[in-house]
Amino acid sequence: MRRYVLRRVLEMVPLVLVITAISFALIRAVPGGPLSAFELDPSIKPEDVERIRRNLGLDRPLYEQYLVWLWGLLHGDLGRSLVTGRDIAEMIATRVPNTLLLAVLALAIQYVAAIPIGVYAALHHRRAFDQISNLYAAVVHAVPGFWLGILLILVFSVQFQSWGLPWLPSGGMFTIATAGALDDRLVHLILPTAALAIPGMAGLIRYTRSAMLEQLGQDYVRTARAKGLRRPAVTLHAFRNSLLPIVTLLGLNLPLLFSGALVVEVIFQWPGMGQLAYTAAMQRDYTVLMALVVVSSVLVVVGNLLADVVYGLLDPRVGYS
Amino acid sequence: MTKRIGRRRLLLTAGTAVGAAALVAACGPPTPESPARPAATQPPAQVPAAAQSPAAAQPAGAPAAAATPAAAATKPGEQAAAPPAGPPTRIVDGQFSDASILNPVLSNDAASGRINDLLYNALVKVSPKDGSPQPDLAESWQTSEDGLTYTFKLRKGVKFHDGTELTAEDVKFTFDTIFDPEVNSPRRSTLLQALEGPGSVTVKDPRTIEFKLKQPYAPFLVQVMVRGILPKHLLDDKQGKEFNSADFNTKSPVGTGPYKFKEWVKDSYILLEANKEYFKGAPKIDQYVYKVVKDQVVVGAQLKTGEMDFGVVDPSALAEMEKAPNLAVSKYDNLSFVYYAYNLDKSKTELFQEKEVRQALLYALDRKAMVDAILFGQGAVADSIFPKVSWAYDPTDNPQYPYDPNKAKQMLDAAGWRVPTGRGADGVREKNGRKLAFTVYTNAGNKVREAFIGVLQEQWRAIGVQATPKAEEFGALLNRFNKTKDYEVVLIGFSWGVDPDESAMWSTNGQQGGFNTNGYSNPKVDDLLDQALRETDKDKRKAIYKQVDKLVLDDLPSAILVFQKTLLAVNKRVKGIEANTFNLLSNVEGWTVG
Repeated sequence: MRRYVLRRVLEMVPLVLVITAISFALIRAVPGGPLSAFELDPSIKPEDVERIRRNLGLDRPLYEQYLVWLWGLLHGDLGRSLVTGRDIAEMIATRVPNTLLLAVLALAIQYVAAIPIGVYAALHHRRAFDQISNLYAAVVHAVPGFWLGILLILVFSVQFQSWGLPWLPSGGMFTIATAGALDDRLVHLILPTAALAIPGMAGLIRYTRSAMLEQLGQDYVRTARAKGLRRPAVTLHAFRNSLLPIVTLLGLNLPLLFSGALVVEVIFQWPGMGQLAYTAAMQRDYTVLMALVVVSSVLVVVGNLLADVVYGLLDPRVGYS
Repeated sequence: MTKRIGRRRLLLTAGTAVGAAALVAACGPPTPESPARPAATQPPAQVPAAAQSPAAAQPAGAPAAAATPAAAATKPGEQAAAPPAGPPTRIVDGQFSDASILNPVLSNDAASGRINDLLYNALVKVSPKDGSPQPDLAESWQTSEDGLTYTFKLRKGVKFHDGTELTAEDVKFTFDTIFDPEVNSPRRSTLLQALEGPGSVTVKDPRTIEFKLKQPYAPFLVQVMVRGILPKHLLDDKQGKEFNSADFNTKSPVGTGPYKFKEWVKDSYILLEANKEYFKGAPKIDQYVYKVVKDQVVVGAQLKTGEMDFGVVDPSALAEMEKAPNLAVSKYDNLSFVYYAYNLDKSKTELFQEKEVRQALLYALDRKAMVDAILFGQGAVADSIFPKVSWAYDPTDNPQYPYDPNKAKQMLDAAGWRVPTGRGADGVREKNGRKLAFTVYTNAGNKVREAFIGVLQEQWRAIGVQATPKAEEFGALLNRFNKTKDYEVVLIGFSWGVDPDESAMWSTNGQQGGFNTNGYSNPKVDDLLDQALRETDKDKRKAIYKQVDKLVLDDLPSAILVFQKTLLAVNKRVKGIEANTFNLLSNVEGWTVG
């Protein structure tokens, strides 16, 4: 087991390197660049754009730029933003807690709400509850995230206010220019969390339901029932076994916790990783984009490893070698 | 004869064409910083209106200490104690994109310009009425007979937010910084166009500074002197490359402006606090919040709930905003327009070499209907190359191109572009075996421009011209338009500065990296544009631009379709905002909230 994990960790290094090299090439292949805004401004002369390009080292051959960047990375230096001159490690560090708060909360709500619904739906296969939860999952799955977010704002902020009801703030992490008291922060969390959890639940309900259904159809369930084991006990056995795919899903969700939910963050003005990535992509802030590539690829690789390890702990049939 | 088309029909017919484009568009939001985007109806970045200020870097030794003075000076507690007690008053300015760098030497985007206008002052500011230069940090200035020497007298007793008094040394320092090639200022070459180098700026005494120009340069005051002044004492040790990433730029900017920097939560908000020592009087509103809301619908929602006090709204949301009981919407002309460029480079396409073709295509467009349908009536048919609010705007005697499809057809017939007859003919005009068929590009994600190219296709089809609309991702379009120049027609838009100099777009020099990307060259226009740049007498200069206007509109290398308006929704509790495109914040210290 220990050797397995060690091997997997060692395998991660070349994998992440390859990812960065490919990403570097892809990001640079996209038209435009961090100086596009200058190029589009009639008051800025091409000489200035060229000079700034040289100052930023963007005139060097691509492989050289990559090696310089890699050298920095190996020394733990993610560099500075090409657009704002800010320290990238610091930029990321200020965003991660915000993104984690929102993502962990939404994920927790999703799991807590979706698993019982999925199990219940499976136990009442083809009955009204199952049909309704199926319908919910299908409809919500099809709703685009930005639309749901805007809808929530229009109903719970705009309409509720116009009806004279208590209304929810339509964005931000806390009331601006206050220290952000706990209750104030919680109120601000409601809508973005809902916008993340509502569609997130849909997939999870379906996963749980089908995993549970599969287990309920297994021979051991029939055997257990036949020898007179009571239904709740059988359900519990089946449920434990149906957790396997759900755990895998959680592992795969790990990077999402950090990468942030772009659409929800933009709609609700949440200063998280999603917006950081969005702005960096729009401005072609190469150094920031590369830093995000490194962080997210490490997370994906680690998330997969964790899922595999937990899998083995839960299922004795899975062995490591 | 020229039957007007209703909005519904115009959009319906165009709809099919743009359908595909719109799909692409939905995937790619417009580049926030691009000055070309229609939402950039705020004072354009390049404009002096963006009279931003500099940011200072802090002494290397004490970054943490330097970061605090602004904040320390205005602890909420102290503030509440001094004026008659009560919670601080606050105004919330809603914006689509976050600022990037709060140093006027380095910044160029409209968002950063907005904050820099609040943090810093320049020697000169532009008047909100007509964009003419007015004293700001300079209480007066004199120009020598030959128009080459400008001497500025600084106001007495102006203090930076950290209490240090501003002197002519700070002004000199700011300009020296721009001259430094290692500093990433996008304005170095512009400055070098007017001045020889650091030696051209001389401190005469602590309150007097002199600028020696290479040659008379008409836009000097509104283009060069409107940039914010940096505090030398905080940035002196951050020279060269270090200047570009100084903490001053993003964490502790210090200027002389009406508001001081307090806090910046990136992609969320910037909080500024009133500068009680402001030389034009302490601002009446205690806190200025710059709130970043990137979604248009959410902007509307927050204006209605009062979570935002003022913000620019989309023409499509106008009716809804006007219905909201707490809002008043101001509509004002701005400096931006939508235009399309014909590629005149023969190696790319030979379709637009004849003036008649270029003109006929414009006659075929019902631009009034476009204003009504696409801009919801918030704009005007362009009748000059100068924006409506510019002092150079004067459409009298300009060649005009009213909607007249029959005239367009006759002109094309006369130029030899005939509709082929016979079997299998597709109705597309031909000349010498070449079809009058081409692609019109614009940037995906900009709904207004996508609607325009759809309508262009439809109305040109009516005269036997086949245009294929294509919306491309912004970076790709820019590359096509500016670098490879592989296009026939590109539709785009942008904002001009306060000064009417449009050389970047119409002079032959503008072909090298400027905005003359379609290869227009008319020696007469070049001459006139150069003359105008050197003519400091406004009336004489205006007369020169009159000639340019006529020549360019006749040559028609590019067709300016419409002028746009800015729609500013303001909460009725706010008093004192003078809605205008030149300098919205000119009287910010006098604004009040009820």
